[in-house]
Parts: sequence; C-alpha cells; structure tokens
Amino acid sequence: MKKTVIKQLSIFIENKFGELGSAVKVLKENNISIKSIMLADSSEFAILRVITSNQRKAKAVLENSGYMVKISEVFGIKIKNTIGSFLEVIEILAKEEIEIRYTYTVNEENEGIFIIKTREENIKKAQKLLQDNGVELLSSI
Amino acid sequence: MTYCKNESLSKDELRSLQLRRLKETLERVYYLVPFYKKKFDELNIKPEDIKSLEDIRHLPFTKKQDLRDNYPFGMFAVDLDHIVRVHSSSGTTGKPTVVGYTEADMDVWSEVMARVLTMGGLTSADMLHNATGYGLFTGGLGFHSGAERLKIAVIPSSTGFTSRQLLLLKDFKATAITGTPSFALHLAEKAKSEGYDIKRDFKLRVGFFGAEPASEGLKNEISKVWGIEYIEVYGLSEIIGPGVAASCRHSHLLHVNEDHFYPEIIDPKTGEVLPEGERGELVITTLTKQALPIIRYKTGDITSLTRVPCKCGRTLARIESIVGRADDMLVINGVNVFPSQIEHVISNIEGVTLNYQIIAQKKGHLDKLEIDIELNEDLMSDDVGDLENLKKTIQHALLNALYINVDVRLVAPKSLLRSEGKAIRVIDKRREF
Repeated sequence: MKKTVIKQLSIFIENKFGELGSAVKVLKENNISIKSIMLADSSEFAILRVITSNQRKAKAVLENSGYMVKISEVFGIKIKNTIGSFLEVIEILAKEEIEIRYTYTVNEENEGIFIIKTREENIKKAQKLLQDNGVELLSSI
Repeated sequence: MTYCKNESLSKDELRSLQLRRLKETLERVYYLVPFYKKKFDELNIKPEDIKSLEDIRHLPFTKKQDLRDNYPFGMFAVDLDHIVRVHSSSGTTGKPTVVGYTEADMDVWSEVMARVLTMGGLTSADMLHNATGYGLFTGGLGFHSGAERLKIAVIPSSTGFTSRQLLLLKDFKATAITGTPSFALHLAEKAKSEGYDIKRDFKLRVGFFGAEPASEGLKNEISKVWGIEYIEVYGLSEIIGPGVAASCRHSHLLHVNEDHFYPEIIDPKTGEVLPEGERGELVITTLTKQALPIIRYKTGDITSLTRVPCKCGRTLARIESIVGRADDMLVINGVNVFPSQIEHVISNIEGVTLNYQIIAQKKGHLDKLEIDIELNEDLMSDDVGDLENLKKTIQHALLNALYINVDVRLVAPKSLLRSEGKAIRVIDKRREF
C-alpha cells in the first residue's frame, strides 16, 4: 500500500469569541490555504482540525503565535456522492470493530471526500479493509 | 545518627529543660524588651505566673507586624554591642523585618544546622554544594555555619550562575546540595539541556531543601531526577533561620528542635491551642535566643504536630511538611482548603501541568471553586472526548481527596497569567464584596 496517511493539525483554542478568527488569521497572513477544516468544541475549549497547503509551515507559524498544535495522522477516502455510500464505509469498519473517532468532509463536485480518524493502531487495518472493499484511498487532498 | 543528646531526651527530661528555659526567656523579655512588658502588663501576667509548659497558652502572640512596628532594633533584648550578626528579610509590603544574633545565638544556630545536616547522614567526609542564597537572607549562611561546625567542605556557591554551578558540581564531586526546590529543578533542566548525564556526571546522594513550599509530587520529582534523598528543612529568620525543623532519612515529618524552639499548633481564627494531630497554624516560642527572644510567634504556616517518636531515635516533636499559609487558606462552603492540597492532587494526574489558577467566587449564597489548569503539551490528546474525561478524572480526584466540588477548566499551555514568571495561584473574588 502506498503512503496514504494524511498529517492533520489539531489546534487547541479557547471557546470564546474571536479565538477562531485569530487562529485562521495566522494562516492567512502566512499565505497558507486551508483545504479542510473542522471545529470540535466542548463548553470551554475547542479543537480546530485543519489540513492546509503546507502543514509544517502552518504548525511552525501557529506555534510561534502561541498556539498549541499537535500533528495527528488521519486518512482520506473518496466515495461516490450517492445516498448510503458513507454508511457502507462505516459498516465495513464496524464489522471489524474499528471505531471512527471523528470524521469530516472535503467537498467536491460529484464525489465526497471524507477525512477519517480512528485510533492510531487501527489506521492501517481500516485502510486495507476499505481498499479491499473497493473504496478509493487518497494519498493527499 | 544524631548530632547531640538533646535530640533524644526522655519526655520528662525534655519538658523540664523546656520549662526551665521558658522561664528564663520570660524573665528576660519582661525586663529587657519594653514591647513585651507592655503586652504582659495589659494581660496582667507576670513571668512567675507561668508555672508549666501548658501555661504558655496564657501568653500573648507575636506577629510579623510587631517586628515591623519596632523596626529596626526595637525588639532586641541585648545592647548592639553584643550583636554579632544582623539579617533582614525583604519587606514586600511595608518595612523589612530585622533579626539579630549574639555569639551564643550563632552557636545555637550552627548547632541546630549541624543536627539538620546529620539528619541527612553528612559527616566531615562529605562535600556540600551550598546553592542557597547568601546575604541578608538567612538561608545560605545558616547552612554554611552548620557545615563548618561538622568540618564538611562547603562550596558557598549561592544562587544563580547555573552553568558554572553544574561545572563545579561535576568537577568537585560534591556529595550533598542545598537550595530551594525550584532551583533544584531548574538546575536539573539546565543539566539536561547542556548534555550532562545526571546520574553519571554527578556524585550527589542527598539534598537539603527549604525556603518555599513543595508538594509531595515535586519532592519526588527532585529525588528522582537527581537520584538523591530529599531532606526538607524548615525555618524562618524571625526564629533563627533554617534549622527550626528538618526531616530525616526515616521520616517525611520534620523533627522540631524543640529544646530551642517550642512549637504549638493553634486555630488561626480563634487562637486556641489545638490537640496533637490537628492541623492549624504553627506558633513558636524561642527558648534560648539571646538577641531576639520571641514569645508565641505566629508563623502563618499551617501544619500538624505529633509526639510519636521516630524510628531514627529522635524523641523531638515532628511536624508535617507545611500544608499552606494561614493567609492562603480558603474556606469553601465550610471546608478548609489549601492550594498546596489541590496541587498535590493535580501532580498525580497525567496530562496536565502544575500551572494552575484557583478562582473562588460566590454563586448565590454558596461558594464555588473553579480551577484553570494548563494542559501538558507533550501528552495532549486532540480528541475532545479524551479531554472531557481528563477533566472528569481531575474533578473526581479533588472530590475524593478534599471533599469539594470543583469546576475544572483545561486551558492551553502558557495561557495563565504570570507575575514575574510565577503563576498567580489564587484569585478570591469573594473578598471584593
């Protein structure tokens, strides 16, 4: 299997007005484009997950601005934009008891790109299962 | 191993020695220190009214403010002619406090410090790297005098110049070190960053630490990173400096040199003497001080006292490591809470740092406690669920240990306010009303 792991940045931000804007502004000012973004929040903090045009640079400039940034490994799949296609993916993984920790999409015209996070030890297994079942894996987005 | 026989007297021997010395001290303060004559007269007490150690509870307290009010030498019981040393503590608010020593006081000081160093097993064969501050502060010179008395080679390195200190520690092969717990940690971090192999490059086997509070977690960390025994030293300049009490190799509790410094534990609010084992404010009466005898000094330190003898053979009363400051004590819905207890709970939990801020406020008629804790960058999960679980774990641990409900907020590293590099630990918003 070719290298299909995608590096995602997780940025820890406080859940208050203006925080999201100032984190994203750091990326803009450094000419980094956001390919995909997802915000997970609890009552007082939030974790902003992004995939950008230059992850290493993004991590460096964010940390320089005082943000706590972690790199975590996720993977992407490309599936048909039809009803039930994502459910099939979930079911393939569920059969092997692989839990999806979180997932988000990258929108394209006719196909859906999903970014999926499983427990780290399950990434390879999940990818193989999906590939064996005809799901297209992405090497990058 | 003890340094002198007064450390292991029988209960009766110790008590009669203490009573004799107390009576002498009361005679001296009443006739030589106008401040005490006035206080005793106001309470209608004469020195001869004190017939037993228990009678000490009838005597007035001395507070830090009394020393300030009598700045600089008003509380001295001897002429300046007989003073051989003066130390002073910084006055963060108002005037500094000034303490003086006669030759006899210096002798007592070096004796109790020799006892402390002996508690850590030091002999003349050892070398002591004294990284406690020298100068007006009593710490450095206190350790110095004890080491000289035991004929220990002492390196008067004081604080600062971390890189040079590491070089000397390695090349001189010191076997013991002194300092504040925070300096010990700072030295270890610096050693790592400069590429030292701590266990191989240094020959330290014991450290004597004091002058600032340290949680059990912090002490264990220092012991582990340096591979040394941790001896805790307690003291305050108003009483003598370091050497009032220290832990030994057999006990985390600190032996009080009570043949010189008589300890009591009182309720900080009512002033009543508390029974053995109960936590309250430590109050000390000096029994042998010549220049600056002090009656029932309110240390502001919260601890408890036990008279159960130690395995080491010393019969002196022992106090637990200082739990907090009487001023820092928070009363949350009737439960007494010290920031140090909270710190102790946090130190046992993986994933967070010891940078925290406690905020007490009123919610209706009830007190509400909130704690902001900075996450540990290296151990942080990017999963909201994991972080919520971490938060619950901390809240549960605090409820179990301290019987208080706390709102825990996890915050990003380095996000809490710091003043001069140190985090502001407690914000009590209730005091504003």
